[in-house]
Amino acid sequence: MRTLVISATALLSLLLAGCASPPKQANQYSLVASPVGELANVNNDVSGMMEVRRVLVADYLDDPRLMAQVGDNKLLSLPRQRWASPLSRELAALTVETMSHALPQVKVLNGADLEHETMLFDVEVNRFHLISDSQLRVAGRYQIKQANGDYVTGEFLREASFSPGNYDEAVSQMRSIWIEEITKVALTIK
Amino acid sequence: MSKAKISSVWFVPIVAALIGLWMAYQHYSSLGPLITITMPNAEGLTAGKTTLKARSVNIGKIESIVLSDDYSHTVVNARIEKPYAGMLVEDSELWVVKPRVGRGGVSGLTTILSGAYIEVRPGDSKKARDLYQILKEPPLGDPDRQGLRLSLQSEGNKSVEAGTPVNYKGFEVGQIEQVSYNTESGNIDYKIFIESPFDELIASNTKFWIQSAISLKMNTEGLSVQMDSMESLLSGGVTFGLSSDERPIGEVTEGDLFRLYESEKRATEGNFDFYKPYLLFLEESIANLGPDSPVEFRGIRVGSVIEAPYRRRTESELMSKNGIIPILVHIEFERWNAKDELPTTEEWQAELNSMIERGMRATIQTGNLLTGARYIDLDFYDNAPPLSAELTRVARVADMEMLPSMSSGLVRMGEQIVGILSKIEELPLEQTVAELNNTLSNATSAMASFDGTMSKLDTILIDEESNSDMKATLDQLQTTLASYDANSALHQDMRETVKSLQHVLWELKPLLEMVNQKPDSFVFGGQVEDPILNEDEAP
Repeated sequence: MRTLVISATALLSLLLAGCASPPKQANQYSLVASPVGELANVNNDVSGMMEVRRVLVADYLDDPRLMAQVGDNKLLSLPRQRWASPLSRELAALTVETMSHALPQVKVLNGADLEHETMLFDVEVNRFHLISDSQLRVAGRYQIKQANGDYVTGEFLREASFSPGNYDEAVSQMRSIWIEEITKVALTIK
Repeated sequence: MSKAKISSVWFVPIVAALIGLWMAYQHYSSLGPLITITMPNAEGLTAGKTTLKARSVNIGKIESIVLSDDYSHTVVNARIEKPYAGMLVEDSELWVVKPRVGRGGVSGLTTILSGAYIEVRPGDSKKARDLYQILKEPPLGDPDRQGLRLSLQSEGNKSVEAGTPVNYKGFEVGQIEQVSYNTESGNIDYKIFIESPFDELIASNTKFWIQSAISLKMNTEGLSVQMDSMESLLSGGVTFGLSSDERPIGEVTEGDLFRLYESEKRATEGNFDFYKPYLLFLEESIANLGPDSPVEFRGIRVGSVIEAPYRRRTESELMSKNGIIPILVHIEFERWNAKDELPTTEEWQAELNSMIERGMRATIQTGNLLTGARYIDLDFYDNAPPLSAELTRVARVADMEMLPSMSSGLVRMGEQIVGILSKIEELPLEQTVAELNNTLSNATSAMASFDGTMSKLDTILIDEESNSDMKATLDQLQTTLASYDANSALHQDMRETVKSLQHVLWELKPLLEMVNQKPDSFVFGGQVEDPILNEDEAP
């Protein structure tokens, strides 16, 4: 009996010791953790109010984990590389902040259902993922309703490389690409 | 033996006899000529009393009034005073002056008291005459007037009487002196007198027409009525003039013959010497189309209908067998071309043939919806039917060219309507109507049911207790719904809750995938390492 009690106590101790072992922490990435900063080119010709109405993210990107494309049609998720918040919110916040810097005379708001907005901006994110251990891809399409009522549409596709396995650098690259493309869009607005 | 002595007493009767003879000689030598006047009757005349006058001067007296031997007329013997014997010549005119009411007004009123007399108008002839036919009416016109006498000829009915004034731009410039019917030509002959200086207005191309006292015109600008003077309204009149594009040509001489037209329009428009006759064939009603109906090309008159229908043997057969009605028209190419650039008939025919090849066709159209007057319209059509060889041959037999025709727009519209009606006829209307009836029947039942429901609802609403309960319920519902308003705190809380829930689900996605793939991962832990990415696998 005594032997049975000692054995059960040891087993329980082992189990508790196993559960109490510190879990391995996943890496959390955010696109808006750092400020956008000053942009090289800004558009001072436009004024008014802009609503960033929709930032639509492709379904396969709506995942807490960073995604990597490993074949023509094959995707893998990186369980230890995670977005701090849903990618659509990250990108919407980054877009609003970038637009605000690129259009100093414009008040940019995120999806506020404004009644008197002068401009509307919609963007669809098709690619925002890694494509190998050192390559990444960012692509999207956008539509702007300008103050004069005209619609401007366009699309972009960019690829970049990063140090193998350095996912922090990969996220930084994707963020930089997004800021550059949104800035380009802002400069075309009339 | 004693010699017989004539008694001196005889001297007296001899002197008396000589004086008597001298007086008788004086009497008979002072008498003028005795003339004989025949007249239908001697109304108002009295032998020994009625005088003969010229310019209101007594020149003679009626001596006897007797009936002719056959009693058919009256013979009046009148003595003309010797100084005036020269007035009674070949062309002298005599008429009875008595009270008259005529176109020229009332005349001879003075004879009411003085009695009728015979007026003598001296002639110009040198030849004496002693037998006269009394004039029925006083002669018109003053022989001393200066002017021009002309003859007019009209093919129509007698429209104006002798004495009718001849007007020019509202002025009375003459009158009709004589109207007669020409039995040989069947025309009405008129003698007219134009006073000087208005006779200078007459040229050889002057047109005379009967003046209409009332002119009624209806066109796109509306209805216009133009009325002449009351005198013209009562007595009518004749006037003259030229077409708007004509200038006076040639001088006229006494007695020249002119045509009297029925109206100004006929006079100024109906005088085209250069024309070519054509036959056209219509397969529809030609009601209200007749002689003088216009032939128009896009609204411009280019000719006239002469005969509608054109009645000749061959054409009549065509009409009776096929229902095709031939129409004779004149295309007056003076209307197409300027007068100084008139083409020859061959040139004109070549030009028309070219137009026909390009699709020009004749149709019958209604020109006036009020009167229904029709006209022939020429125009170009894209769907012009080909020329009929048979009809062309018929026209050639009649020594004319054919003007190709086609059905009018109204007929074409009618054909389209018939086509539509045929399609409607082919529709399964009976089946559709039956289904519609069935549907309506169901709808009626549904409406009856709805009506019953509404009646019940009415009953509930009318009930005050139910009404107040319902009102309280609705108030409560309104209050409840207000708490779910987009701006309400509850709504905001719900949005935040849903947002949080979405975030949790998003966070749980990897965990759920892992449990799905490896259910014991809760106890033994799952894969937490990233997969190894190979550059070779990159797309």
